[in-house]
Amino acid sequence: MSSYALFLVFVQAVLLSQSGWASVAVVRDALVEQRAILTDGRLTAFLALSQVTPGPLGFYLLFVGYSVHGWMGVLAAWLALMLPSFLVVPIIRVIERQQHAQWLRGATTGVVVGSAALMLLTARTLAQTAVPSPMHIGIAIVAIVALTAWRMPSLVVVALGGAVGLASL
Amino acid sequence: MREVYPLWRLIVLLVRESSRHVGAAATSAALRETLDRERLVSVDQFDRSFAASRLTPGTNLIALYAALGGIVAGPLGAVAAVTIGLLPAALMSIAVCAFYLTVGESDSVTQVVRGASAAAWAVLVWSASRFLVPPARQHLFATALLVLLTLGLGSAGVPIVVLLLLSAVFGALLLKPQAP
Repeated sequence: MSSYALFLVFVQAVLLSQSGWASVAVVRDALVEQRAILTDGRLTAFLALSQVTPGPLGFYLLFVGYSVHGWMGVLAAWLALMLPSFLVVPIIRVIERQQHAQWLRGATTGVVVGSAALMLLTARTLAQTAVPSPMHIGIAIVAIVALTAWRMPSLVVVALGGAVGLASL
Repeated sequence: MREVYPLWRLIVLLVRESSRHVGAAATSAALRETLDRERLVSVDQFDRSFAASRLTPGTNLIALYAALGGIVAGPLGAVAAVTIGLLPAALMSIAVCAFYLTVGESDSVTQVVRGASAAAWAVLVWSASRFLVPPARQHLFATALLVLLTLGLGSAGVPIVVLLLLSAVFGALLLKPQAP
């Protein structure tokens, strides 16, 4: 599979999704089901890695690209992730012209609250796999304390969580 | 009216926050506070950018970066914010992936990822709370109601874009800023 064809798969996946992981179905269908150049296990591992590495969850596409086509695959994924994001530029320009409208300020607050609620929904969905044991619940509680009381960067918190996981072996 | 700093200051902060945090939620929550504290982008401008990024296709954080860069320096700012702002985070993540592919599956790697995933789950919950506290201070009941409605409708399988549009309508009606 050429890196250009990989780029087209990635672009299609990104354009048809509303968030980082929503593109997984398209990627899985194209690379696992149709072309068998990626396995479900490897894709699942990349999704897990994207949760614990810097950047958005959508960066799992970089991992897929690297796995399938090395640095050309990474470039294909990078361009596919970046290009659709510029659709927001004309939208934000229109929105900024209405910035003093009270209804707009309420609407954006509504979207922010709705997004936060979706984060909680995702957390509820992931809870069974992310915090399956008392040890992992303890890691999560300490992590929240570290983030809130000590204002630790989340990357450090996640790295320490990984260290505790390793120490428990 | 807040003064807008040059593009390079924004990019420095975008690079810093994307390299220190895991996931779009934590990075966005941190950026919202940082950009306001540094007087670079106001909270209102950030919220509008955040809302716009949620309603466009693709990865929300990347679209947010494009929106913030566009506010500061137009289309060129959007390009710079997206390409430079996330590059270090991307390279760090690829390095981790390359290490993972080299080491392969093992009990140690699995335990590390599980421990890290538990912490990442906590980061997600913490990030949500950071976004909910400010509107809850002004509109506690309406904020709680919208959260419960979103959780309920989301659990029922309503598409994300529909949920966000409904949230926008709800907010336009019930979450307008209160007069000082």
